[in-house]
Order: sequence, then C-alpha cells, then structure tokens
Amino acid sequence: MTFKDGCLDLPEGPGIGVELDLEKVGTYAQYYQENIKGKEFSQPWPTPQYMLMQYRRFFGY
Amino acid sequence: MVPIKITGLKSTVVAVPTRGPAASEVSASHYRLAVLVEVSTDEGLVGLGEAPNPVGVEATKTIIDSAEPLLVGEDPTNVEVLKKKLYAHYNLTHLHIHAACWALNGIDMALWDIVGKACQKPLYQISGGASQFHLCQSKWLPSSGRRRDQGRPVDL
Repeated sequence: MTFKDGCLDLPEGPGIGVELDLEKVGTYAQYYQENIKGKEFSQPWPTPQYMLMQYRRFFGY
Repeated sequence: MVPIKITGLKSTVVAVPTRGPAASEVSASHYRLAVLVEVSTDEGLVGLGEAPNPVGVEATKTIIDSAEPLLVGEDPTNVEVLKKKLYAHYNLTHLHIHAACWALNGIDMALWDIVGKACQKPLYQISGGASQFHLCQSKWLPSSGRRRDQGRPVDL
C-alpha cells in the first residue's frame, strides 16, 4: 500500500487487494507472545483523550 | 460451477512495536495490536481479514476460533447467510456492541476477500465501482514531524 500526499492509493489486485508478509506476521506474533501477552491491561487504559491533550499541550509533544 | 468450501479458519494476534503512541491514538501504548483472520478454502484461496479488539485481543481471538466448526464445509461466497448463522449462534444483532459482534466482522472481511479472489476482481468493483481513487488519510496520519515518527513501526 502506498501513501502519497496524505492519501492512500487504491490497492490493486483481487479481493481487498492486500497480501500478507508471512515473515513479518510471524515476527510480530512472536513479539506479542513474548512481550505483550498478559500485560495488555497492566497500565490504566485508555487514557482519556482530553487528559492526553493536556499532557501534550504541557510537554509539547 | 462447483461451490468453494471453507476448510479452516486461523487467527493470529500480532503486536507491532512503535516508538510511541500514534497521533490519533487514545492510549499511551508503545505497540499496536491486531487480530488477523485467515479463512482457507479447498481451492487454495485464502481470505484475509482484521478484527477489532475492543476488549482485548485474547477475547477476540477466542471468539473467532470458536466460530471455526460453524464455518468449515460451508460456501464462503454466501457471506450474508454465514453471517446470519453466526449471529444466530452467538445470539447477536447488528445493533449489539458486543465483543463477539465486533470479532465476527473480521470473519466477514475475510469472506468478502474470498469472494473477490474467486471473481478475480477488486471488491470495490463488485460492490458498485470506485468513486474515488485516493483515500484521504491526512487527518489520521501526520505527513511529517515527530508525531508521524512516533507512530511508525520499529524494526525487530
């Protein structure tokens, strides 16, 4: 999928026009199993949007 | 024409690490989660879908995996029929905002992908043709600056 000028070009090919890179899927699935699984809700989540806006305004990111 | 049959359903949870929360993201997480759904058929076509995870990826994955025995042996091009069948089994309507209702959308997407691949056509041509050839994403994907870099995936 290609982005250009803030737009996503229409994917070509049959169906939804997306093919999986199985190698990368395997890598990220392994990353989930090792690092994220079980810790997904260990932090308060989600931070309310307005608080995040305040933080951003204050810290400037 | 011999109808296609579903032979299996597979869901994979992936976490893509990012440098920081993306600009449009509510949570302050350093990763993005997704549940990928793959529906395989006897003709070798594999439909691809992505399910939303409103109450956690494990719940979504469990619901999708539990739907496998209902789908195996069915014709994947009967998308609406299969969706109604799943809705009846999980006691849902389209008005529910249940985790199950959201998770089934991933299967729906994968089934439509199979329909498109069986017809050898992009889905937008099946559903009436394209009215625009670029999807404007500028509101959600910042085109430059630190915020864009924050949301970008990190190479593992």
